Amino acid sequence: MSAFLNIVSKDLRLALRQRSDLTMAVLFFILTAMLFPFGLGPEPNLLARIAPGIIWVTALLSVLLSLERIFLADYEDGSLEQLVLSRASLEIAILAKVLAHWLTTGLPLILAAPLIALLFNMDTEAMTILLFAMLLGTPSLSLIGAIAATLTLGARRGGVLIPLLVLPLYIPTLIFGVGAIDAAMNSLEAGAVIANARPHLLLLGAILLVSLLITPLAGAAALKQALE
Amino acid sequence: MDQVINFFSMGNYGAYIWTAYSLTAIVMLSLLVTTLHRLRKNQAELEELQHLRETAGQSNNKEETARP
Amino acid sequence: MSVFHRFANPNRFLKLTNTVLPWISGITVLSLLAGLYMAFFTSPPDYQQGETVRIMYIHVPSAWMAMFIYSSIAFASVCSLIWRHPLADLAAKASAPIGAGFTFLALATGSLWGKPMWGAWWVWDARLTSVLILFFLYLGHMALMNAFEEQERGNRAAAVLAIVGFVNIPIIKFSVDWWNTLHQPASVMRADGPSIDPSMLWPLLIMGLAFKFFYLVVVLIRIKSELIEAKLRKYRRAVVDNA
Repeated sequence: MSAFLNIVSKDLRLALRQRSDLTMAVLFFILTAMLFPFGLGPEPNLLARIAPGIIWVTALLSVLLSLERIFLADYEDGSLEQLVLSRASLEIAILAKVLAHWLTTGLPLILAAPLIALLFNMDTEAMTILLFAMLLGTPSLSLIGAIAATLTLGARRGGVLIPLLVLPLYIPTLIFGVGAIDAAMNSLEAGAVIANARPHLLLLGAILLVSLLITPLAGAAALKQALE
Repeated sequence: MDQVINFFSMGNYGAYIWTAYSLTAIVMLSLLVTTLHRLRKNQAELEELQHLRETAGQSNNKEETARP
Repeated sequence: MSVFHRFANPNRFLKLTNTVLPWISGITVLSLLAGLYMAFFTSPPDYQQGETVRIMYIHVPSAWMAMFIYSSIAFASVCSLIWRHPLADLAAKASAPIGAGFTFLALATGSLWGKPMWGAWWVWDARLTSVLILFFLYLGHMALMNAFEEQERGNRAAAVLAIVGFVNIPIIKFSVDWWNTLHQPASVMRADGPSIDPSMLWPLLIMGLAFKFFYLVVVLIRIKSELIEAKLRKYRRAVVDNA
C-alpha cells in the first residue's frame, strides 16, 4: 500500500512541478471544443444536441495527448527497470501510475467539462449526468491508454502508434458516455432523467471494472518484456 | 452472344459485381505472389550462404587434418 | 550445424508443411472453382436484391475470415506468451497481413454491395462498423509488430495487444449494436439470415471453405519463409561474430 501511495505522490509532485503538462490537456480540451461552433454555426439547439458527442470526443483526444508520458520518463531514467528488479508488485505499480495520470488528466477534464457544457447550452440535468458519466468513463480511458503506453515503450514513433492502438478500444466508452447524456436529454419528465441514463452509466461502470482487471495484467506482461 | 452479354451485365449490376470479384482476386493473388516471392528470395539466399559455409568448412577440415 | 539443431522442432514442422502443402493447395483450387461456378451459374438471383446477391459469396466468407484469423492470432499469442512456443509468434506474424487483407475485402465488397442496395457506399450499420473497427485493430497489431528494432520485442508486444484486442471485441461489438439500435430503427441487411435457400447456402459454404484453405496455404508458406529468415539471421550473426 505504501509503495502504491509513494508512486502516486511522486508522480503528482512531478506533474505539479511541470505545470505545462498539466494545463495542456485541459487547454486542448477547451480549445478544440470551442472550434465546433465555428464549424457548425451558432444555432443553440443544434449545439445542445451535439454537445455530448463533442465533449466526449475532445476528452478522448485530450487524454490521448498525455498517454505516452505515463511511463516514458521512468523508462528512460531506469527507475522502471529498478521496479521490475525489486520484485515489487508490478500490477500495483501500474495501477498507481494510472491513478496519478487520471488525477492529472481525467480529473481536470471533468472540472473543465461544465464550462464547455455551458457554452453549448446544455441544461443542468444533462450536465449532472455528464459529470457522472465522465467520472465513470475517464478512469477507463487512463487504464486502457496505460496498456498502449507500456506496449510502445522503446518503439520507433511510439507517440504516433498510441492513437492507432488506443482509439478502437475507446469506442465503447465513447458510445456509452454519449448515450448516457443523450438519454438524459431525451427524457421528457424530470424524474426519468436518472432512470433513462442508468443503463448507460452501469455499462460505463462495467467497462471500468473490466479495464481495472485487464490493465494490470496486460501492463505487467508488457513491462516485463519491454525491460527484458 | 446475347447470353454472354446478359451474363456480364448481371442485370445492370455488372459494374458492382465484377469490381467486387476482381478486387477480391487482386488482394488474394497479391497476398499469394508476395508470399511466394519472399519465400523464393529467402530460399535462394539460404542456399547461397549454406554453399559458402560448406566450402569454408571444407577448407577448415583440410587444415585440421593436415595439422597432425 | 548446431544452428539447425536448435530448430529441431521447426524442422519437423517444415517437413509436415511440405507434405501437406500440395494437398491443401489442390483443395483450395478445386473448392474455389466449384464455389465460383455455383456462385455464377447454379445459384439464382435473389428475389429482392437481384444479381447483386452474388457479391455475398465473397463478402460473407471474407467477413468470416476476418474474424477467424483474428481469433487465430489471439490463440497463437496466448501460446506464445505462456509456452513461448517459437512457431506461435511466426504464425501470428504471418497471419496478420492476410487477416487485414480479408477485412479490407469484407469492407470493400460490402461497400460495393451497399451502393446499389442502400444507395450509399457506406452505411453506419452495426456490422459494417464493427468490421471497420476490426480493421483498425489489425493495423495496430501490424504496426506494433514492426515498430521495434528487435523483432522479438515486437512479437511479444503485438501478442499482448492481440489478446487485449480479442477480449475487447465482444465489448466493442455489443456497444456498436447498442449504439446502432439507438440511432437506426431496423437493420438493412437481411440476405444472410438463417432462412437462406440451399441453392445459395451451398456456394456460400464452399466459398467459405475455399477461403479458409487459401489462408492455410498462404500462412504455411509465410511461416516457412519466416523460419528460413530466422536461419538467415543466425547465419549472418555467426559470420559477424567470426569476423
